[in-house]
Amino acid sequence: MRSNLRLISMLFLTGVFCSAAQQQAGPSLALSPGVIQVKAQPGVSSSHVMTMTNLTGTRFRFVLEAFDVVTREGKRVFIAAGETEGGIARSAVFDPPAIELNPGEAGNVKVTLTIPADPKVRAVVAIFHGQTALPGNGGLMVTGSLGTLITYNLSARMDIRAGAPTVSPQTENANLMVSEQLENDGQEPAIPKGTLAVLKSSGELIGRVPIQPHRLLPGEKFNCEVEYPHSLRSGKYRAMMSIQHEGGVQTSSIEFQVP
Amino acid sequence: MYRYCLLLAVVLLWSGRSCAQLGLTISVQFISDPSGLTLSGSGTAAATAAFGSVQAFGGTVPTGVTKSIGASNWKLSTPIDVLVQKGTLDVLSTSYTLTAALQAADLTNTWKLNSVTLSTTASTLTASGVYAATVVYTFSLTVPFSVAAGAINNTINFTVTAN
Repeated sequence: MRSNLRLISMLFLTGVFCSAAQQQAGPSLALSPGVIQVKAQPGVSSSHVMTMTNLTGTRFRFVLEAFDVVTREGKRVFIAAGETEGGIARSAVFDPPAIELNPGEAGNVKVTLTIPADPKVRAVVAIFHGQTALPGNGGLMVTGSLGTLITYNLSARMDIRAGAPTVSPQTENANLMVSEQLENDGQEPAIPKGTLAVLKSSGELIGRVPIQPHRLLPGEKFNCEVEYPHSLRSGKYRAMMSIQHEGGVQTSSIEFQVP
Repeated sequence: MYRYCLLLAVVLLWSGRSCAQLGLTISVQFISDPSGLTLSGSGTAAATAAFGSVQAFGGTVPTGVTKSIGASNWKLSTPIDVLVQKGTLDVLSTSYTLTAALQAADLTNTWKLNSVTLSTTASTLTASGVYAATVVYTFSLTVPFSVAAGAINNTINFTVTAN
């Protein structure tokens, strides 16, 4: 009897958890998955199913479009299919190429992408381009579109370059901040994550803060800022940033003083 | 007891798969800003801001709309809130990219969100948007004095992709 109750409780909690997650989105459009990571070889095709859910009270129409995602001056740029040499988006075949969804309805679209023999990009976005605007009494209409990011890892050549860390000292109103410029210097997407460790000058560990994972496409830069959430007493310290990714671990440090 | 354990394992595996799918979901909503024009369809993914009939000199503008007069043009502006959310289980996407584009080209008037001038080509509003944080974008429409009176309509398409 006790095990029955335990089982029923666990089933109930599981149901509550899933239900809460489903309700989080609100009366909007929701696309799943938001990101697809593909490990493949040049010349290979892959198909992926994306599900758009219309949680609004309006019938929505979407046209599917693919863009290559390239990095320029350290930032992502979406380039129309066919306009980038070695792009993947030009191969996109959507089935169906457009969908209409009634309120509360979900629809699947399959996208098939073929990596060219000499690919120059490592990411594509498949966008459900919203065509629906609420009829209004003149002026401005806004409508939403959602895209799935599809990243490609075609080799193990990953390299994250970490700059020298800098410290913003703690004040009465702000915690200590340690930041470091990360750049994906390799040829493949990478998701570096890591740890900030604060040590006394004697080497004694004072505390650690996890560094959240952050996806970086080749050439992309990111200013990784980590807040140390505790107040430090006056003294000499060392902040150590350890960045970990599939290509290895990099550690850098900086000494600082709290007056 | 063995049967119950098996059943529990099946339920947990099934629900784990279902929730993992939800965890990768992204969604977008447009919301009326408390100090802006009330959007029809606020809180959903398609909304309308009706400016009604306004004029450069004299007259009134709707609540939440600011009018300013320049040397050769006049401008209407109002804040709009955008909320992008993701499933709670997706830890690998820590931010999103938001772009905006006009649906129809307008060579006469200037449509802006914050300082970004919009065209039919998507412009990036943010490359590092924070999930579940309502972000205010100030929409502005600048109309030259040389334009004859008439209706001005357009649609801004916001596109969200996970980073």
